[in-house]
This record gives sequence, structure tokens and C-alpha cells, in this order.
Amino acid sequence: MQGVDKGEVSAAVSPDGLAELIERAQRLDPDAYDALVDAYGQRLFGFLYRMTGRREDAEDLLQEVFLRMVRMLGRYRHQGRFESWLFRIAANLGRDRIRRVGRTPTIISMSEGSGGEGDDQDAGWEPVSPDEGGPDASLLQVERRGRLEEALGQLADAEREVIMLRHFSEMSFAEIAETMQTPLGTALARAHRGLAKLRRIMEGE
Amino acid sequence: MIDEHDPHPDLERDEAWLEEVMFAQPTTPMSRVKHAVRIEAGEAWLASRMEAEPVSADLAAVKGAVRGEVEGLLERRSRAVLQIRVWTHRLVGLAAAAAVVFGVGIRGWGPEESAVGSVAVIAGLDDWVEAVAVDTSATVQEYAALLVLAEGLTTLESDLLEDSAASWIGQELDDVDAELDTVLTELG
Repeated sequence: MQGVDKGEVSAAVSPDGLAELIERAQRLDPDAYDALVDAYGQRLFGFLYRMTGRREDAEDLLQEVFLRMVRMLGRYRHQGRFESWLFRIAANLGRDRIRRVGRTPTIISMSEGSGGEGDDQDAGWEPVSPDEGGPDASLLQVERRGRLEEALGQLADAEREVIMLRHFSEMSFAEIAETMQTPLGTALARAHRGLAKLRRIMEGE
Repeated sequence: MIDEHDPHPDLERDEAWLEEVMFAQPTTPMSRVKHAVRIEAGEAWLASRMEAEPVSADLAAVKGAVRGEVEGLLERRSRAVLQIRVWTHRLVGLAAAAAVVFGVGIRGWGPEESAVGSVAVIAGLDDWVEAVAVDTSATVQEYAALLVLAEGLTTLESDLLEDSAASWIGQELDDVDAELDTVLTELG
């Protein structure tokens, strides 16, 4: 699984470029931090949004992920798994937030796609692909998005987390299992069960 | 043994299906995050520098010297606006000195800064630091120096205003602030 199309929502970084960025960030070069936010911010946001179901929560947690990155980067040793490291921080924060708030995420209606008050112009949703354009297609996609979000809201937290980690990060199931502190078999089973449930809900309508 | 590289065919199929249905991804502006990260990086840099005792000692000396100047003014109970301006120049001097201590230059700061501008800076320090922090041309070191400056000045101002003998300073600051507002309004 390739995850989100990085070309659409994030600036791509080559492995060499990433190693250099991390090194510069460890020297507290602010431009390097900006570049890391550009590279991973939207995907992390997508993950946190799908995990918590609330734009405000996702935005707060996104900022916290990057603040923790700054605090912890000095001790980070790059071995090619930076993305897993970041998503692990995000997953832990997301889980803590859900536990603290004590609710299953309620995916918010599609009307929030325009972004909250004060958002910049790029708030909202990744644009619909031009080859699927047209007003009817746009409406259809908005409707499908709403259905998908409702369906995601019906999954168990752990199932949704596995599926979203797989979708938004490039983590292997072994890494996801480690992040969630579960056996590999459990992570695989949650993904299998969660996806089947998601599909059943979506296609059963 | 479980092998994730040989998953159940249904899982592979359903993951491919998910790729199709997750056609739209939520997005959010990154400017606020970048701003917060820069401030955090500045504080991290400052913390690392402050661990070095000589830097810490230098900074303490600078703060002490400036504080001594201000306290000297207070002891003399001078209420002359001229003295206020001397006081603000000292504070601006602290900014320059802090920059020297930290081995960086803060653009736009220096003893040549106008006293009126300096008072305005002190009166609205938080907003001012915020405004500079969003200026992406500033370096992490500059942010760090600004943060230390903001902390120092806020403490100093607070101490001064709490002192009943120095309560007049608040009124003077308000007056100069109003003067500045007038000038800015005239400038248009």
C-alpha cells in the first residue's frame, strides 16, 4: 500500500534530502523545520483528522506533534524511518486525546470542508481531480466523502488507527504493531476486520 | 509464524479498495504550525546556549547592569520625560547587548532606536515579539534573543510598575503611547 499521494498533499522529499533536512533541523535551522512541516504536515493532519474526527483537535495535535519533534529531534538517530517516528508520535498523541476526551470520534459533516474561521485559503480538502470534474461529479464526491466519514466513525478506535496509519504513513504492519504495542497478528487482524467492516458499511448502503 | 509480506488476499484487496474510496484528503494551513515550531526551536537553541555557564553569566551581568541603571533613575525620583527616554535607551541597550552576548545581531535594534519607538515596544512587547516571530527572515538565534529580551523586559517593567514610587512610569508610558498613536495616524 502506497499511502496518500504525496504529490497532491505534501512536498516530496528524497531519502538523501530528508537526511540533510534532519541534520539541519538538529542544528536548529528554521528553514529545515519549515521544509519538514511542508513534507509531512498535511499527511499527519489527514491522519489525525481521521483518527479524532475533529478538525480543531487535529490541528492542535498536529502542532503538538511538530513541537515534540523539535524537542526530541536532538536525540533522534536517523536510520531511514523518520516518517514512522513522526507518525508514532502522532498516533500516541491522538490516542491520548481520544482517551482523555472519552469519546469515539464523530466525523464531522462535510460542510466543514471549507475550513474553520480564520483559516487560510488552502484549508479544506485536497481538490477534486480534474478528470473527475464537473458540478455533478463534485457533488457526488462530497456525498461519498460524507458516507466514508460516517463509516469510519463506526469502526472501533483501534481498527481505525491501524487503517489510517497504513493509509497515511508508509509504516509496515510490524511498525504499526510496535506503535500500538500489539502483536503483529493483532494489527493485521484489526486491519483486515476494520477494512471489511468499512467496505460492508459503504457498499451495503 | 505470521508474515506481513504474505497477507490474506482479502486484506490486499480491501487496502486497494480503500485507496480508491479515500479520494479526498483533508488539508489545513501550515503557517501557524511553522510559526510555533520556529518559536520552539528558538527556545531549544536558547536552552542549549544557557547550559553553557559563561553565556549565562554574561547575560546575567548585562541584565544586572541595565537594572542598576534603571534603579538609579528611580532612586533619584526623576520624573522628567528625558529620563524616561534614557531609561528606554538602556532597555534598548539591553537588546543590543543580549544580541552581542548571543553572537547575533537583531535587525532594527540598537541604541540609535528612537525612545518613543522603544517605549511602544515595551508597552506592546508581546504583540511585537509575535510580529517579529512571524517574519520568516528572522533566524532562530534572533528569536531566542527576542524571547530572552521579552522575558527580561516584562519582568523589569512589571517590577517597576509594582513599585509605588515608580507608578508614574505607567502614566508616562501611556502618554508616549498616545503620542506615538497620533504620529502614526498623521503618517497615515
